[in-house]
Amino acid sequence: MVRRLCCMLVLLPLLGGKCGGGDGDGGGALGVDLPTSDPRCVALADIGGFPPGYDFIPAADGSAAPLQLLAATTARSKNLIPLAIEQIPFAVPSESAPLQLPADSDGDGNVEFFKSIDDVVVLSSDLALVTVSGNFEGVLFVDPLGVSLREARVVVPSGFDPASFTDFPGLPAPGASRTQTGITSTACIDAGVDSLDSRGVRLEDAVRPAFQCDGPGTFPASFTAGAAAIGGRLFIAMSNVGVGPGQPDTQFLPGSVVVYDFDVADDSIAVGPTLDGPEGRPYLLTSGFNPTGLTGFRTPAGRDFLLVSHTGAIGIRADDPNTDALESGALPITNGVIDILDVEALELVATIPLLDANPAFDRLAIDPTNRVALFGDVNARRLYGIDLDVLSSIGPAGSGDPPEVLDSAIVFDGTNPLELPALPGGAPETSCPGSIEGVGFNAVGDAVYALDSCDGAVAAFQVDLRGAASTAELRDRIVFSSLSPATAPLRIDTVDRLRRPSSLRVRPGVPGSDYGGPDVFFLIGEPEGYLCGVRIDSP
Amino acid sequence: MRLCVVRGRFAIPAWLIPCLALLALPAWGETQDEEPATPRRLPPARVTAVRPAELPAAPSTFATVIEAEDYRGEVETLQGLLDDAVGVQVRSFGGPGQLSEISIRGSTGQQVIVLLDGVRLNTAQTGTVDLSTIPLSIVDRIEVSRGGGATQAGSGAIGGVVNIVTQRPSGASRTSAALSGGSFGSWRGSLSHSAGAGPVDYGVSYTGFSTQGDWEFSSVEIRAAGQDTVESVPLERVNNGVESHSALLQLAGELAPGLRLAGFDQMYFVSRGQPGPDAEPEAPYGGQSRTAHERQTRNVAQLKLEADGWERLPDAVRVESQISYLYEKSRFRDPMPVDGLDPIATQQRNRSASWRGLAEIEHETFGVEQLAWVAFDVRYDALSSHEAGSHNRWNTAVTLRDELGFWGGRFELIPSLRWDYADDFGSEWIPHVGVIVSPLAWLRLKANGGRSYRVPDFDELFFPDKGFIRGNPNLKPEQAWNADVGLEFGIEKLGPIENLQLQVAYFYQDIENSIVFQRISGTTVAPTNTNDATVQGVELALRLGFFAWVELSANWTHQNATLERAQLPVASGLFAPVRQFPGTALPGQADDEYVLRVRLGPDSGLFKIVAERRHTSKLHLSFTDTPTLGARTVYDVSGSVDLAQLWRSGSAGFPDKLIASIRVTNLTDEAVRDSVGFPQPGRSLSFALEAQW
Repeated sequence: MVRRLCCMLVLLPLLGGKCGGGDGDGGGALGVDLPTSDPRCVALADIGGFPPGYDFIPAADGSAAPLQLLAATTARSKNLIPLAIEQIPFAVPSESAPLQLPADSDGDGNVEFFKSIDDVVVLSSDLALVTVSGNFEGVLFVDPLGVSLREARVVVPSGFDPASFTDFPGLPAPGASRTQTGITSTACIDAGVDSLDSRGVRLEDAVRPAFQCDGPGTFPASFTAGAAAIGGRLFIAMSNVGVGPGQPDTQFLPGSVVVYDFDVADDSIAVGPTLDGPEGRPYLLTSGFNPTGLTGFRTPAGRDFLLVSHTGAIGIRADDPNTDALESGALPITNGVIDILDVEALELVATIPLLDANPAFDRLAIDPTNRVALFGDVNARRLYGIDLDVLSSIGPAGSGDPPEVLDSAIVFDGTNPLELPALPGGAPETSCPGSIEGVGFNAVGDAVYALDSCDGAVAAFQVDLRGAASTAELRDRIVFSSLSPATAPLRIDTVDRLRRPSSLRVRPGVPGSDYGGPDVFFLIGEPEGYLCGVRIDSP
Repeated sequence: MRLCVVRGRFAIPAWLIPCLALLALPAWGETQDEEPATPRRLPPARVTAVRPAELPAAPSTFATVIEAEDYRGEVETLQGLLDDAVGVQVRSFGGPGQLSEISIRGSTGQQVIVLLDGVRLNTAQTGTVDLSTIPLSIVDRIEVSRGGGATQAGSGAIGGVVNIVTQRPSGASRTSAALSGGSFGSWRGSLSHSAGAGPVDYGVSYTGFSTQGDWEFSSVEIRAAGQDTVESVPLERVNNGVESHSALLQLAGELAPGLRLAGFDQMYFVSRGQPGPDAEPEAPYGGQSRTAHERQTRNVAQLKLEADGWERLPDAVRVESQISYLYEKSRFRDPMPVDGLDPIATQQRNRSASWRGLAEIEHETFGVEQLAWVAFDVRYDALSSHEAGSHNRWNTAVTLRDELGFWGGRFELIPSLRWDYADDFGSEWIPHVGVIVSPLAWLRLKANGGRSYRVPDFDELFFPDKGFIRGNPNLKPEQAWNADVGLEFGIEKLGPIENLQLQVAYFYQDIENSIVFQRISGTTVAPTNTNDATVQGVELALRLGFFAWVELSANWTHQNATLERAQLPVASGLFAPVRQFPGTALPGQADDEYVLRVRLGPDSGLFKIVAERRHTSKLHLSFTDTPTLGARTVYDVSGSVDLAQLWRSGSAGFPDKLIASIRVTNLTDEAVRDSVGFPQPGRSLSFALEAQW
């Protein structure tokens, strides 16, 4: 009897491994609370959930917008958060809810893995572009007021070269279409075997074989960095990072901009690869490395250009073991450049070399009179600028000539930058020598603000562009006026402070007249993700 | 030539003490005397019932001794045992068999030294110890000393020292076998035998564990901007299987009366999936890796010669010499990282060899009874990593300690001083003073003050430069001042109350040059020496029994762990912050933790029913004190019965103990995480059967 019982007892542990267990849902899900302690800001994401971008939402015709801003968060929480910004503290309106991107965010039937949101570009009150990169590269279509994904008809024209169809693995077959909520920017880029990568190596030797791109010197576009819609086309900038990301000699492959025909009607969107690109391909090669910012611009004569700002190839500075300092930060490899693309002809018509400059990743800031575009440097406390009036002088596309070199458009470049002062007690020069992550003109155009992420400070400049006849004259019309700390500088003793601000933008419209609340906004990346707003211009 | 003459009880200048250990055995051999053996510790005016024990190596520290036998049938892992100790927080990065670290008084895992029978398990590479690698079946007791223990254990002991003491072979024949099975496909089995063979006592033990670890859980909700911005989704833990094997061999024998040679060798192997965090709830498997895998092999060996009561030594002298060796090889592979980057394949080998010589001498100087203690330590640490390269470090130390007893031992003063040297970091002087006042037989007051420090580990110094993350060879050691004061109270019987024990302590630590991984530029994260950290708090441990059938115990730890704020000029201008954040916090720390435990059952151990309530307040997630992970309260219950007492038939071979137990952890199925990204299982059930002959 006892032996039998003992045997049964031995069976219990053996069978115990077959026991089920709980799913930890007895007390509800565990939550992370993110209260907001700084009245300027609203917390959007916990640590690791860096907010990558946001944009303002214009009011729909005839109705007041219930929310005015759409912000994105990434890392753990890849979602879009609608916010009312008329009053502080900003909050998600009760009638709205954040949109958590689904695993198949573009709706093509394939589950995506490890993607991050890069930016939000609001085109209208009912359409925004959300750029996404990682294992899924592309653009999502979003209704910013409804905070929902929008469906678009992805149409591949029947004339699309079937032979190169395999180079665009995310698209339907030529002549076919399907409904999706986004479109891929994955494409095989054929830059020619004789083109050079950022290390000066011929592509034939520099490109790793990729299973989806089989031609010599052909590589898959990667790192979606920006999007713009202008002239019935959708442009997506691809940075095309090669091997060794994070190393001092990171390889960059030639920059490219993927182009789709983009037809937005009242309640429908049609998008598909264009047949109007060079050699019928839906992409353009650019003249520099690492295209990151796309800005649409229409000349007074009505000619549409796409301004492609190239950061240039950048690596990460290695530490010098012979010093006590921590050397780090971006290590420029090649110079930056602005390309001017003719939107209608889909042709690179001009370039503006910036010499020793590495433009930041953001869009260009254009003053309200459309005279000057300013932008910062990713690795220095500097501003650069171009005279937009000069763009009107660009010759017609289709001449077959090489792109014009528009030195004449340069207001500030790498050799003659507009310097920002360093904040006393700011970030160490060895690790963070300045990074201008956001430039914005105020509503009337008499001030421009530039945000240095390293020092956590905003420099204000007085602007008076009236009557400036020449490009050279413009240099004296932008004058430094003040420097104000917005967050703590990026120092090793500020680990507990709000720091690493970015994406300074000025809300469109006239403060006090068109809207109440703050007019200048920026993001904070550490320790948690915040969106902050400050009222600068008084009514 | 003899420099020192040593006798059993005699006056000896304190400065002569170091030379005693240097001369060690030859000198003792010629200086024996005939005085009777005396107790090693000073005559105590202490209450034996005070269980928060006095550790010989650190008598004045606030300590907890956890006897594994007391928890038989209740817990299956070392983590579970340590979770009950006041001032201790165990952080688990997954379920059974996955990485778990110990924190004492708000420390990091690197700031606690974990010893296995006196052998340091913290490797020079990571500085931490994975508690899941030590099977509970080999443990006799755990000695937890809280607060700075640098004079005891050297670099790293800022938060405290944990010594895991294995079951010693006594010569008597003893065999035990245990088998348990529980939720999520978990099985654990152990077999051990100890006996004597002539002059040698030996013990062998094996423990195996495997689990599928495939539980369900929910991702974390995030509440921001007045709403749930990220909703929880149900997920399953994948690639979380563990298989581990552990073997222990122990040998001990008396070479001569009072001269004992003992050694052990513990081998451990684990092969386990590394799913990582559920960093991307909407992605397949929540962003967990399905391919990352780790294999780790460790060998710890020690040979110890102890002379205590040896005829060639004076009775008042005890000498010990031990050599130890630790080898750890770990390999990590991930052929398909979830972030789409290149496959990962890393491998590291850690080796550590050490020698310790120790002499303990009772003496009376200036009419004061004293116990002097001197120790010499030499340790060589080496890392060989195909990514981080090869690095090594010599560490040497000399420690002097004296215990002075006044008024019949009612007042004890214990000053100690350690000189520590580590390659590349030079020498450190580590003073410590402890006081024990025992005014009444049932009351003991304690106070400690001293320094501790931690030399940066090899990962912090030499982590390979991957651009986005790197080590920092310019790091300085963390420096700390530790202080605590409190009382211990113990009464064996008070009406219906039996064995009443109370320990209350206030502690304070100030850590300079705290090493923190943080962003140093827009692109790179690296370890840095940042601001001072301060941890202060209160610990309370209470235990009492009723009528020999009921035992209640309660532990409560409250702490405030903060980082000193940087001095920044008052901001002004258009964009200046309206006000600063109100405070700071050390991430991963809870302000309050308590454990309430009720045990029902007779002293005979016929049966035992235990219920526990554990509460952990919200966890701080970053250095600002605002983002927090929600509080949790978890209930565990267990029941066990010794069937041998019921069924003992008298037949030969029937076990002396045959304990069947059932255990339910996390009874109410709460969501549990010690850090945001690493879920732990919900409610789980296990059955166990243990026999002992």
